[in-house]
Amino acid sequence: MWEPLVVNYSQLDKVSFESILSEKIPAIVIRNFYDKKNCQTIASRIKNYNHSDFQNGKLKHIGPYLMSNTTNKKKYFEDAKDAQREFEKIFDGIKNPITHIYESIGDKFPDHSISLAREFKNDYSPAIIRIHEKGKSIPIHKDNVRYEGKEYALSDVDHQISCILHLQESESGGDLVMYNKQWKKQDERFRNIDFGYTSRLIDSSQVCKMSNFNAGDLVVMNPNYYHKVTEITGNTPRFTLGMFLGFYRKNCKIVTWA
Amino acid sequence: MTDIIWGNGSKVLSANSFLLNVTHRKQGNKQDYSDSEKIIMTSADLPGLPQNQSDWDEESLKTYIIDAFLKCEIEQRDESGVILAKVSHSGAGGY
Repeated sequence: MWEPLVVNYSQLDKVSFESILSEKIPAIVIRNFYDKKNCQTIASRIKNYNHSDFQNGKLKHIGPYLMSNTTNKKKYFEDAKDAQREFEKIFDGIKNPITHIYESIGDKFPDHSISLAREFKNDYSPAIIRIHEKGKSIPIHKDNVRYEGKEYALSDVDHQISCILHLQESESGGDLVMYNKQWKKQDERFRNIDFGYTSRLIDSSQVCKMSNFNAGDLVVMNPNYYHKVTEITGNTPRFTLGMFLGFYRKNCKIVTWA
Repeated sequence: MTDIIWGNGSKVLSANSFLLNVTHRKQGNKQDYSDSEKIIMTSADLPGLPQNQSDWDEESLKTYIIDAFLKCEIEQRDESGVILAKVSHSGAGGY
């Protein structure tokens, strides 16, 4: 069976993250990873972040993401600087969820250092908050910085994993679906025009569907496996905070970015 | 409006040209495009490929072109049928 490991935050000390790196399981879901009240505080700050844009559904994310700036490093690093300031405001006075992820993952790899990725004195974006309104879905795709992030220094990481903290859930929809098939370059012939891949690519692959996420749950996954998010069908928008972790095994170093 | 075709690079022919297996065509293109087209890159926006054309070479171009999904914004088709185009990679990260 190819299915995620689901644990409560209190059981985290018994979990080996090597099972993700060695590709034995698709994901680890850590329930109650982050305080629900803090999630509510963050959600309310997101709604007020740029109120008119939020109400109009224009606000799709806070913070840049590298994959949309694959050939525009200057803009990415400028936006990343701005994002750091915005995150400071959004997390002001509460436990910073990014720090919480650092500490928790860091504990699982005591021989590794963990820090925000830097390049020529530029900080990478620490995270991205995504706002998914009703009707939004994310098609089948992969995230692979080694391929699409070639212009960035961290494209030489040995492993990449993805951490997604759920801050607010919709009433329905927004399930994470993972396929037991990893991306390879030849799969690019199955690409859709703007983003993602045709479903023919994963027709015969084992499927793993993760649903019923709650605010405060953290999903850790290998993003090189094809995955998608089903359509949000509830009226409440779904908020997530996402970041990637890159492992340099020889140097015992973990770097983070979004 | 510029004609646009998308597809996968199949063979590098020189330091600035390649064969494209065409998989998608923009609705409303003024010209017809076959399933395989020879492309000369007038400029490129591909991750890792230097902006300066004088830094391109046939061998390293293979890394960026072969199998990659490419967007070609067409400038013209020359008398021999070769397409001159701006070539870029498209797609943004998701979940």
